[in-house]
Amino acid sequence: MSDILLEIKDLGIQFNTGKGPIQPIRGVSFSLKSGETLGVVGESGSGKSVTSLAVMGLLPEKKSKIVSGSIHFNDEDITKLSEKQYRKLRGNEMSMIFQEPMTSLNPVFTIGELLSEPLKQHKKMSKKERKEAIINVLKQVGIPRAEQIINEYPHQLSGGMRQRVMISLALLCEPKLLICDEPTTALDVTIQAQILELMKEIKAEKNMSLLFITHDLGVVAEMCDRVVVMYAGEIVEVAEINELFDQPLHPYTQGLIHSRPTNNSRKSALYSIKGQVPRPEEIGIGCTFANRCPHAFEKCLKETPPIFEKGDHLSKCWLQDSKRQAVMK
Amino acid sequence: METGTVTTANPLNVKAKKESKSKEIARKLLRSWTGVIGFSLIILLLILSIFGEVIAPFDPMDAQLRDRLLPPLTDGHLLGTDQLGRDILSRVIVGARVSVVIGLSTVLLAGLIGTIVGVIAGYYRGWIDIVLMRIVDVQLSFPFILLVLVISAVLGAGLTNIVISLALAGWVIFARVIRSEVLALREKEFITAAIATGVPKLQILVRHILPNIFTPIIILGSLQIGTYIIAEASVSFLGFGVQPPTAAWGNMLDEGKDYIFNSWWLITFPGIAIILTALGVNLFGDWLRDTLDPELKGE
Repeated sequence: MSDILLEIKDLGIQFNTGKGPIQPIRGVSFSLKSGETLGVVGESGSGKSVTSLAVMGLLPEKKSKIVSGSIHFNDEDITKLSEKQYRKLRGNEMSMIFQEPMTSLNPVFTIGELLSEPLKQHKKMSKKERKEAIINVLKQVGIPRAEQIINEYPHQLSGGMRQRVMISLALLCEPKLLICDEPTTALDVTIQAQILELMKEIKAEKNMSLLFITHDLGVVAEMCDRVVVMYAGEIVEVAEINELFDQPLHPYTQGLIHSRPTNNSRKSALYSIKGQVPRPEEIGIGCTFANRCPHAFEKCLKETPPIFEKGDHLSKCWLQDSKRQAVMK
Repeated sequence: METGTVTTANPLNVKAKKESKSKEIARKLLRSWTGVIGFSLIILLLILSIFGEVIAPFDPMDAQLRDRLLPPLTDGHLLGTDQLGRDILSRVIVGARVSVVIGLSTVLLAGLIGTIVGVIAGYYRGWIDIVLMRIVDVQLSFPFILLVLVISAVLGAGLTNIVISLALAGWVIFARVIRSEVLALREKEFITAAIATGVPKLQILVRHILPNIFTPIIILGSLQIGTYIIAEASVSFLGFGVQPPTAAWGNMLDEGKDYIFNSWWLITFPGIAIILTALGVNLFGDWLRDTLDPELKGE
């Protein structure tokens, strides 16, 4: 087995809408090493969630299809798996934590019944073993009174507790890959910090790989080793975490970092990137960010930039074109 | 829901919780006077339908032509006698059973068919949804009673046949409601989460979606029972339903209508019985909806 757990190559996804097909994901490539935490950031509508759903094989079957590229998980192209084969991976080798702990737990089941689901699907265990495993994992995620919680219903728990239950649901079968789709967005800040701390601990303990999807750069700085910045369905920048914050290359990333509140700018208005993410049907030729970019020049509007590499630091911006840089100097 | 596998740290605690649960339901019931009335009427109806023969002061089939068309409160006949001299009170009491049996079995059958169709249409979507829902649309465009009459005319009279024809005419409402519930549910995040833990499609439907539509089924069912009881009475009144001499409220109306001008009690009392039953069932159904509705549950 190679060091790389998940490799996405040139992924393109097409949605069939009433107005004709659109491509919310175009040419996305990145890889995730085992034990690594990779952050995926971007505004709403940038394609973060669609990418993660594609990895889990949860895209709506009839309305969407993968039109190009591949997703390799453990050296196997999972885009070609049958539904049945995929089912063996889900919840077992790869799990997902959803954004809304309030709506992600089925209200008619007790916590115990909910948590026994992945074990029933993937592991051959007796009822007693299952109960033990569930109580164990609940204790791991820091739920007090685990023995009683398993008899309670989701609505009896607070938001933070429910997210802990969601995490334990994802951890039960000890997956190699854990996808977190904005796991702390719906929680208040103190709980958020607890949950992030918890996820870090668990990750270190189990040596899992984390694909961490968020729009919160603070969370990214806290959690991730490397970051993929997405914009309008494309990757615009990939960098190691410190490099990204110190030397963001793409104007979009610069804008994102710039628009965070800091201690010393408390009284002034926050910086914001003007305009909105173009909708998939609005994307034409040229750089997708050009219409909002403070540095845009003629070429940006006419030609789509390729990905420029600077060591491990990738960015999709004409500013990085060495010819241009040469001219500027 | 008890899992049975789980030993609780404090069994006393659990018991106390259960008691408070039934108390809670009683409290909710007592808070709404319409709920109390509906509930009482239903209890009365159930008692009559189970113990009818014991409670009835006379044999409902015993025709005493000497005593025919006696007005109420004569010779111990509290509600009078009919054209064959049978005691009307006894017939009304015994007739409750027909209504209850028909109401319940129709709602079970119609609910079953409607739920299956609704779930399939809502969950699998695609062409099967289109086909099933167009059938539902076509059927909904016919008046309910007309449809019941046509089907029972084909099947013939009798208790079983009237249940079948009521159910065949009535399942569409269940299908419609259940489909829309399933449509909303399948997009819920917890369903995606269940798929993400590797649960197969059919199990998602049976284990994760079905329990969630239980409440709307119960509510709709309880409200539909009233409709079916009235429909049975109407069909029996028109001569297609339960056949004489079996005492049923509908055919009592049918037989009594010829005497409406000089013996009003023949049709008045079975009529009142039908009204009270429908009222009770509907009041109870409304209360049930208000209590079980998940949106209001937390309050």
